Amino acid sequence: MHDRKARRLVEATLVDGITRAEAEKAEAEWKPYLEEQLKRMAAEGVPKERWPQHGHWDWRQKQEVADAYLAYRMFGIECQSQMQGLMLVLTAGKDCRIESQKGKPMAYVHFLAAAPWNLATVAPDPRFSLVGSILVATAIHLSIEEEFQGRIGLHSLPQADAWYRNSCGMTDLGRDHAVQDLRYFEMTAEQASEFLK
Amino acid sequence: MKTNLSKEWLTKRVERDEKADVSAGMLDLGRLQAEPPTARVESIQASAETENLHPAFGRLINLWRRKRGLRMDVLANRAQIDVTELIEIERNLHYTPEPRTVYQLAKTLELPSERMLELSGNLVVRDSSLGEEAVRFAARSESVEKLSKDEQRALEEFVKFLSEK
Amino acid sequence: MQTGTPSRKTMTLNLTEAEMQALDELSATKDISKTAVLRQALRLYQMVEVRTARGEKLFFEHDTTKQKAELMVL
Repeated sequence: MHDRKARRLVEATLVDGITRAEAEKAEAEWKPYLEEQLKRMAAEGVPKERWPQHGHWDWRQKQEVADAYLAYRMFGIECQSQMQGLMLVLTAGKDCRIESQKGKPMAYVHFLAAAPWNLATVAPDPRFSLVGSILVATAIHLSIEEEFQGRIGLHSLPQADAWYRNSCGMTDLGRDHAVQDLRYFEMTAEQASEFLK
Repeated sequence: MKTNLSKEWLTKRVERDEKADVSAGMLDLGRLQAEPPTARVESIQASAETENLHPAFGRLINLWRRKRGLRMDVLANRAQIDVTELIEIERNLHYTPEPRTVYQLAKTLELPSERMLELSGNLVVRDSSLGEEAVRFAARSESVEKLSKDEQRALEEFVKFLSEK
Repeated sequence: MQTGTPSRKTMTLNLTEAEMQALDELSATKDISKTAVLRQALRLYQMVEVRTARGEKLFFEHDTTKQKAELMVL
């Protein structure tokens, strides 16, 4: 991962298969930090555009799903004994929509989030970057392992739209009315290969 | 699973990630439908309660606003939020508002912000009593033009509960 | 980076001609190996099983007409 303050890469661990204890610890650390920062932002009168667009997901519940279903895999990035990002991926039941790969299976990123102290919209001094890149790369590697050739898909939260489109080179298939009008992004095998270069 | 990410690749990605707040997934909490039967009771209850909280949040805002005799556009203006979002909150039982909107409403209507964040689905709730009270409140309140005596009583009791914790 | 790849066991399958053909066709359509097809089938079956055990029903919804129909074709 990249330590923003020290301006260098630091050692991190990709955890494949988050345990209940790890999910509980992450929630126990993420939630109070987020609450504290939201209070601060309200007190400081931070303008609307700079607020985060969502609160906090229940990662414990997601971990239980990953534990119980073969189709779900859960990953985390651990650095300095704290979970810096979490991701839940679905590996069955979601097919590609881009015409050139329509109907082919993909690894669908069901949820992806960085710890709140890493978010520019929440933390006064975000600690680490590369959470998004590492987790997207992980999803691609999982897709390859599953023989989906790197194809992935996800519904982006609005603040991340531009990043998936421009920085990851994913195809923006527009608003999905079936999923809260969130924009749906998909990656072809070629785009995935390009991303990993 | 092999994920060899080279130092060069990571360094190249640093610039691209610099200002990005990356996230993906549905806005609703606890919307993951695939609940296993072996999940702990506590977790199933917590998720069911998250589902129960949304209607209570919208109903609370609606009754509180009507009690004060405020039109939606007036409340939206005072709270400095979009009126379209306020409409969604009051009419769409499954809508999760943005955290700032919740804060602004809490401030304007003088309700406790942390509880409101939980009730709106923005923060995970581990307190089962909130879910129970929310269900009770939602069930007792109905949408009529003027607040009935029952609605008033239900509203007052629920607000008292929120303020006590 | 650490990984948690589980160990794998080998199994022999006895399939009819028709089942083998269906497997071949799915493998070609989905552009994945036959093993991967069966893995997908197992994952989906498990998800369906858990939810139906909870009392839910599996439906298809027509994209245009929005008409719902249960899993059976007729």
